Amino acid sequence: MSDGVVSASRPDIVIDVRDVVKTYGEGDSAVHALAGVSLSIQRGDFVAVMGSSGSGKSTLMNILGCLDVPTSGTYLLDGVDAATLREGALADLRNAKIGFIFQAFNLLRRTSAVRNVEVPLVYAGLGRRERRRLAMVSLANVGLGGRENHLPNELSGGQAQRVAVARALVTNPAMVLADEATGNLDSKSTADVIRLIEDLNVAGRTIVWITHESEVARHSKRRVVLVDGRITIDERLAPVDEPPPLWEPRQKHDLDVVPEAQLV
Amino acid sequence: MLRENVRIAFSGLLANKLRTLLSVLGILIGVMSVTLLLAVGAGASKFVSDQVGQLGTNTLYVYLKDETGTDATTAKIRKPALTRRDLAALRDSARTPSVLRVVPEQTSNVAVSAGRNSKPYNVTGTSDEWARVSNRGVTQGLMFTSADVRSRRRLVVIGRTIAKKLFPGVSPVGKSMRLGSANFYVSGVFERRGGGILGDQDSIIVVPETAMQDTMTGAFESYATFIIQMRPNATKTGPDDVTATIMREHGITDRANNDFELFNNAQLTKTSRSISLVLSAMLGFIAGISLLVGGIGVMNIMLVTVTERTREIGIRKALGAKRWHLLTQFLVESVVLTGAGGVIGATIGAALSQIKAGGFAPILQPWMLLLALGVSALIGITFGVYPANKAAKLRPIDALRFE
Repeated sequence: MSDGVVSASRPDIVIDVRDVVKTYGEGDSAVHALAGVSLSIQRGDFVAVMGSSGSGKSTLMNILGCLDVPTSGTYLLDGVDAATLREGALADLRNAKIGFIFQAFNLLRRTSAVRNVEVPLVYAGLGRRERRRLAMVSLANVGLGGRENHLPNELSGGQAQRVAVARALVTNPAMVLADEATGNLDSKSTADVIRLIEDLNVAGRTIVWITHESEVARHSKRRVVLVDGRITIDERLAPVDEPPPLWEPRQKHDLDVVPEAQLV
Repeated sequence: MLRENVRIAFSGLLANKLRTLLSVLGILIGVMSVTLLLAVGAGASKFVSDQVGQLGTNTLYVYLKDETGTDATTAKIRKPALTRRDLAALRDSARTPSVLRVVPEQTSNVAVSAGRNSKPYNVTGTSDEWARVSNRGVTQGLMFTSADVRSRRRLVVIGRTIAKKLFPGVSPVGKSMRLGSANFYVSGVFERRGGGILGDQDSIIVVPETAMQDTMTGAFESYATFIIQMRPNATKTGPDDVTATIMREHGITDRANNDFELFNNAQLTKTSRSISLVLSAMLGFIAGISLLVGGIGVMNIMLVTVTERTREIGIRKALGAKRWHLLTQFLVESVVLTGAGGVIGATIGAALSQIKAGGFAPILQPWMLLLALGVSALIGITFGVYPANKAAKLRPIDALRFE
């Protein structure tokens, strides 16, 4: 693991983090956000990464999402060492393989819901018509069909986060990285988003959900707890090849019913 | 992709209308002044060469040098003058082969009136060939003839300005006017030439030199000016030829001691052309500076925009945007900004250049518009590269953390 060359990893391993250290600053003032984390995640798993603020979980998320690079250690994504990739290749990787869902939604301002969902497709190089078609499908999948022309400031928090989910899914990524995805939502919207993500996992996508809410963690198949940059608990709650523990099959179009009062 | 970038650029620019308007205004004023000043420069250049061209390029003027410049001893021995002997020598094709015609001029400042009010004017006494050599047509009436000069008739040909002042609303031909103490009959009016760099060309009064001697100056043996028309094939050798003849007549051996001066229209044309070229270049340069200032404004605004949109840049990068995506996005924005200013500025500049000012019309040529637009687009790129590159180089993690 010191030479950074791809070593034998099982084909069903999507994320393979080995001895990752992330240090901010230098000398006495150095902060060890991650102090040697090793974690491998199988395809189709639903992992909740928990920890209090300052535990290093956001740093881990940034490294997993190829937004940041570790100070030392290796990170293999689908068997490819992220450290060997140039900036352009990393951008392609984020575009094709990773869907991000952020706490702050991170929708582009002054940009309609459907255009927001189209953004990853723009960078994937798709044509206008194809982009629009896929984005509309993705919006319909999160129950926002008919709201495609709304601007972010015309959507409720729950709706905005569902637009973000639609955007994360539109490129059909293997992995979804959610960073406190329900942190800014009320309980009803939180339940909606959790159900959406459960559905994604049932459909075969790998989910890594950074959260400090134990309610979210109850829905996952595996719980990893970070304390001071180290993994202290790593427990399995449900088998990888089964649906998430609290998932229930449900009526289609459940999500289409959104109280009008939620509209800003 | 490009279409998407243009859309993003427009939505970004429309979101900050006042700011966009102000930075567009900077470029607009710059492009407008470049267009306008180039057109004004071209118009002025044409105006000047037209004016000088009216004088005829094969004409030479011989004047006496100012006394102040001459050698005191030479001046004592012989008072410098352009004499009848000089005139005869210049007219002799054996001695001065390049010369076709010589017209002598003498001037006298006298009170001029056609009624009660008199005003002093310079009156030119000359021969009948004056009109031809000075390239002047007579539109009303006629120029006096050589017979008129010989028979010392008191005839006068006047310029438009004089005609208008002395004979408002009526044709002056055949009317009598008073020059000094004598009455002259107006035989003709010169065609209009207009004012310009050489002063009012229509404020002239021309009489036969014989009549001038009879009524104003008394008999004279020397002249103030010779107007020399060179043979068409001898315009190059003419000035030297004339100089040599007069030096011989005046007994001068060293050119440095010359008591006379030559004024050459061909030379004037050349000089005035180069002056107006320098003038145009300077005007363009000054306008270019205002364009540069506009460009700096655009750069400033783009830097602000990039900072404001750091988070957007982070989001885009997280979603797979590469450097060149963001580079082109912000470059398109700055080029749209300067391009809009360029198009509007060129339009206003073109419109303003239709206005005639200072007696001449600016000349707008297509290349001026193309230059102004090209430069504005270039400024958009030049001053957009740094901010765009700054945006493109941001690390996604830093950009996303930015609040």
